[in-house]
Amino acid sequence: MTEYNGYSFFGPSTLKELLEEVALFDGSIAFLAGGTDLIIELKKGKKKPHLVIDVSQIPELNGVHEENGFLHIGSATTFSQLARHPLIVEKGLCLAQAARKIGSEQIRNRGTLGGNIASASPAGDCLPVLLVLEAMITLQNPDGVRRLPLSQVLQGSGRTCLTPNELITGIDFPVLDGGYVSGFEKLGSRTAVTVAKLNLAAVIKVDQENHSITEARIAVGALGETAFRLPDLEQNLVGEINPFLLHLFEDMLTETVDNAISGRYSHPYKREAIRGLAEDMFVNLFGASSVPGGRTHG
Amino acid sequence: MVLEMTVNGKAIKVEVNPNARLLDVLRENLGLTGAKEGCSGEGECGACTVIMDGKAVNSCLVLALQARGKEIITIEGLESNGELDRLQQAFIDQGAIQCGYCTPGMIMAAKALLMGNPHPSEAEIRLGIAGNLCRCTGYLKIISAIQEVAGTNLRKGGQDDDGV
Repeated sequence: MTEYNGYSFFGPSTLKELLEEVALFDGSIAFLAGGTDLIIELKKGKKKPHLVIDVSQIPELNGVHEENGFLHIGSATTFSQLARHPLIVEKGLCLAQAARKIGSEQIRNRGTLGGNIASASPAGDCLPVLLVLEAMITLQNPDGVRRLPLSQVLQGSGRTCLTPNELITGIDFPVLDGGYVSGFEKLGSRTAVTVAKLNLAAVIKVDQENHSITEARIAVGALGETAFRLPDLEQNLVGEINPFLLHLFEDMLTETVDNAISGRYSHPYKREAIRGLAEDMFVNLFGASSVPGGRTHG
Repeated sequence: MVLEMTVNGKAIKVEVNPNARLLDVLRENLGLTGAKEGCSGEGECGACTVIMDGKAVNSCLVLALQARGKEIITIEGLESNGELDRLQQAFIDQGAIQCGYCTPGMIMAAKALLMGNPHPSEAEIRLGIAGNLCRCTGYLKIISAIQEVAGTNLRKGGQDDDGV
């Protein structure tokens, strides 16, 4: 066994330069974006790459644009950028809401959407959001490009399908037009700078004329190794909007918690707490009058 | 490797190890010891906050070489011509400092906030410094100090500004 002698550093300014170096380099590579997870792991020796490649100064990997009905987001776009980007706020609001609730201002200024996916934390705040946005993830290595749904990229806690020389270059999802509402809610041990104990993302298509839900996409995080969609619950939400809908939503979420983490120490807490998140989500999506007592958000 | 960046308005060229963090280079190579390591490099406490290209960052979570070509402002860069920055003076005037360990990071987080939003509300101030832990003052005096500079201070001396 050879002793680990630390890593060298490469800071390309184009994707082409990056891929050329990856093709040539013989050894393990870590891709560094915001560094809010990776630098901690490098310092603790949990990761021991031979080369660190910084992707934070590659303009092609940064920014948001709309093309043919899809929003395209560069993997190194920061949470601060996402939180206030007009296209995200208008056409993928739940992602802006999630980005605002991550970490602190300092973390949001550095942490990136690609990094959130690559870290694959069970509690990663953007992950349930990207599931309900039906996001596709673009992965690239010197041999080519592949585009996969997020559910295939996430393989477990801290595990993804990325090969050792592959990086996330972009994220895209169909824009939410005016018929949709979307939202993100999170519960942690405090309101800011906290790891989610539960997070919840929703995309709902509302038929205003018939006062009904025609499409529902719901995903939860921090209830398993990866965030996941709730297809049965989604089916049950479709139909007329009635005063019992919130109660149904709460009951189905509690059932989800029961199925996911029964026997875990956090189970009794989370099965109740998720009902509060459900109510927060209704206020977020449909306004304060959608919940009993018309309580204000928060 | 050679790192070139601008620190407090001066172009800097310094030889650094690949694993050095921006915090390490500021403190060890450049002698700028205002930024502190509080939570041992986890990004939890904000004591190492500096401003990079106009934005507050935890300098313990930036590899030094990631700062190549960037403009860094540290607490040492706030005073000019021997005069403290208004924000520094407000921290003193409001008694927003006790042990002082969090103060450089707290002031740099507040400075970045004010650079982007000169008149933040109290809620915006609280959000702006949510990543900075202070274990002495209880935050109220810190918020008052920032409000003083923002022109939204209602708490000075425990009374409204226009109170007697």
